[in-house]
Amino acid sequence: MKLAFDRHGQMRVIEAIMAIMLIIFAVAFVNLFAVNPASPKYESGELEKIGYNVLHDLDEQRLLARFVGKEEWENLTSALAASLPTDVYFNLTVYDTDGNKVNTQSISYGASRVFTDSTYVASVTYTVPGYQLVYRPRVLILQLVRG
Amino acid sequence: MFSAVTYFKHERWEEYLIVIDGIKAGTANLLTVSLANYTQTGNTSVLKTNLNEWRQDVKSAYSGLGVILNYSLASGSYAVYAMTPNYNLGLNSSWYKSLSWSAANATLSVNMTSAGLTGYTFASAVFLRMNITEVVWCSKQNKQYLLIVLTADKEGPAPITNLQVNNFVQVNVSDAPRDFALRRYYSITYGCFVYEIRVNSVTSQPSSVDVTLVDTRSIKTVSTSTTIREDKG
Repeated sequence: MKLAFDRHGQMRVIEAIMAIMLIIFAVAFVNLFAVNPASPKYESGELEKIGYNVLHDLDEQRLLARFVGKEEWENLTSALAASLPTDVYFNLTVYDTDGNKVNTQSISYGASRVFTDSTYVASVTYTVPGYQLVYRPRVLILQLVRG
Repeated sequence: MFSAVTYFKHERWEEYLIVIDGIKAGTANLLTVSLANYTQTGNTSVLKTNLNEWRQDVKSAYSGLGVILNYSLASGSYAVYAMTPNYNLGLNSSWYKSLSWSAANATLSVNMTSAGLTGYTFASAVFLRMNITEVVWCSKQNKQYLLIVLTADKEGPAPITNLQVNNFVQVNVSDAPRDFALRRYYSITYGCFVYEIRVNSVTSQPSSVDVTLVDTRSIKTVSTSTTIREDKG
């Protein structure tokens, strides 16, 4: 009988409910900041980083300027295919500073359908100022999708 | 609070970093191309001309991001990597000494109006240095040859270890061009990576040795040594 009228426990229940709400709110709030691997932003960002790193590595090895400067498109295609993960398809276009396309042949891996059908296409812009003694800038646009 | 969170989540920070890194890498390449041109043609204003064009080209290459590039060329004497190049329009070379170099230096600042970034400043330096550490003339009766031991460095400073025979475009002994053989190895004596040039059939004590180096980046430097030790042993 005494227990039936004891209301001290009610406050504990309310505290517990408030604590649960606080935790749920905190998790929901933190989730606003989170970019998890499943999100499209993460995927696109990762591909951009991969693409930039590959171009930068080729540039550091003095290969990129040579391939572009001497228009060795097949070598450039091979180098990109060897450097990028096998499940990443690419399409590179080289422009001059007036926006004219410079590469006479396709620099790509994967069917063009892959790029049109894919929801997320990452794009990286990289500039090559020149080769050897000559300042002749080229703008490289590298598009990437995961197959 | 919500707008702040949305801003940080959706702002393209990674893309901005990639753009800035790309500009830095491109600028370093531009300095390399300009220094190569200067050392091979003697055009002292090439870096200034190229940087003026680069400013415009970067702006159009990253159109939409509002990239504005400003630069200042190194001028006067700077202490860098234990050398003191006296820059003029960001370029300097010191040749025909046992320690020779070619150097380019510029400071750039990037503004990116789309990201609210202003005054991001970075320095870019490129150089090639060659040092003739020892020249030995072996004067044995049946084996007379000349050994030139030298080191080569680039910015960092980092030793250059991939030079081939064709990078040493000319080796003069007493002002006459000579054929030579090249070896490269890590020298315990000097405690660094060295190149050894051997010129056969040098029958008399040379008065001087000139080595012209054009590295894989097409940057040129010329070292001269008049200190030649005779080895009779």
